[in-house]
Amino acid sequence: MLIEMMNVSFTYMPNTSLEQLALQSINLGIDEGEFIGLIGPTGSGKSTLVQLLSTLLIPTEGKIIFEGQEIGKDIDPRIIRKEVGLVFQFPESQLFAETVADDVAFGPRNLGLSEEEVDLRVRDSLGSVGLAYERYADRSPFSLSGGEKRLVAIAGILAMKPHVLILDEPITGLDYWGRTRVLRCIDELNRNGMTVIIVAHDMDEIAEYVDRVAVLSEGQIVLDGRPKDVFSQIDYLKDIGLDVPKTVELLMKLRDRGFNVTVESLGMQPAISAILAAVKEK
Amino acid sequence: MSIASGFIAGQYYPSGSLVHRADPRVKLLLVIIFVLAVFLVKNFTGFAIVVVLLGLFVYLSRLPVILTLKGVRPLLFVLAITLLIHLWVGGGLRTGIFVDLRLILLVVGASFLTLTSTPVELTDAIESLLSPLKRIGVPSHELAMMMTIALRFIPALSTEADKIIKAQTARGARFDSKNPLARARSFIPILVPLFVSVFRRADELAEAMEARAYRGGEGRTRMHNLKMRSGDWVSFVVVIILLAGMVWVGRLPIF
Repeated sequence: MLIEMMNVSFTYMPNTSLEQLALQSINLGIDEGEFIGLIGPTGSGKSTLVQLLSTLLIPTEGKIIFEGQEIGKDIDPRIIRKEVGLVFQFPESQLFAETVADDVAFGPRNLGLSEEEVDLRVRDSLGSVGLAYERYADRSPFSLSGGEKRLVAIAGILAMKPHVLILDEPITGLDYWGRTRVLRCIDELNRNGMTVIIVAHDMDEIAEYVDRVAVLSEGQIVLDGRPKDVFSQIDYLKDIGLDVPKTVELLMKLRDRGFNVTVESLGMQPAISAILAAVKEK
Repeated sequence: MSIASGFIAGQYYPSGSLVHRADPRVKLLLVIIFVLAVFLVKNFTGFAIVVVLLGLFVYLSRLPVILTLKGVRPLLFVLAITLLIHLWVGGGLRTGIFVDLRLILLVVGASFLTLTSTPVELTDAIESLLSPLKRIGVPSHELAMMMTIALRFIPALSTEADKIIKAQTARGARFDSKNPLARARSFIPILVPLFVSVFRRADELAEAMEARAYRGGEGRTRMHNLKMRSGDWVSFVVVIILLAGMVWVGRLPIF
């Protein structure tokens, strides 16, 4: 197991009048190469959870084990920050350098790498997010479109060569084009072996990519499993204030009306084929 | 110390006292007059009266004394230097102590005002007090609006700064370099995104205000109208008399 959270709780501003319990007894194991979707309504503790995983916050209770070593006890949190890349919400708001290349180079330079190595990593990571180095390297990050800015910000994290990539709502606020580009790039990274955790509120787009979904509600993990199993709990999910993917909702409704549809895959194309098959059957 | 720690000097401290409920214009004017009066006092008896008066106001406003003194702390260095310069260059101990006392009372008086009035009350008071100057072209409403917006954005910006610091930390940024130049440089990745977001927010706010047909103070009505009640008039006159007496005693040729 790559990362294991054992009985982790987190309280903001403990022992003050503003004390607020954000997470309660979280147990979560993450395997090498997994693609996990972390969903939950606003205020359920998603952002806190990912900040704990990247050691920007330290658990008030419980422990987090990274590759068999307990963070903060056996291993310095700073080393973990190199291993766990966290892409924040609206990461484009952290861009600051004059050129795209300089911005992406910020992380690797902080790691104290040689300029050749830095340059290599900049080319590499811009390549992995699908931005051609020759076209983008010397442009100002502020002149790019929203989707491109976000890809540059993600490249900035990838340039640190993390083991695990965590993205907090990476497609929020992007247009259709931007969303597709960002998701394709993340999917590609996962196929190449990277462990990916993606935090999302809107499940529609990510449902077909992830191979596991964990649901947070009021600071606790309430569901954890394969997407189709999690989303079959349609009533429960709606109860805690979550939307299920529209394809799932449609297939479920058809099944309730007596159509013989199988909710096997959550993508748009499989759903269309399933519906066509069921309609023909009738 | 538990109340004072984590409390920023000059932050509003709600206690619902008589002073808190008073018209902010009265408080603002009285504090200005108080500061001027403190500069007219020229003997120790006078300063003793100032301290007693100020103590009385603090008692009436039910503020923890330590909060009113909190603003003095960052000033201690300046106070010490002032005193030393007076001893060295001339002017003597007496003038040195007077200058220090005036500085302390000035700061305490100002924090007394902000501790007992919300920022919105204060800007309303400034707008109202400046409004007679509109005739000679002083944009009193606009000035007050600018102050309100600036105050309103302080918490938003500190949240934003916090987020950017975290994001850059996740990219390995460090802000603890020993070299002052390197340390100053390490703040660029925070300041640039912060400025970008400030300008963006300013733009968005301006558009949102225009979309709601905001066009300055002309003909605007307000939700909370400042109204002088009889109690406000009475306390205004009483405090003025007290301050006048204080100045009179403070200028007598006694110790």
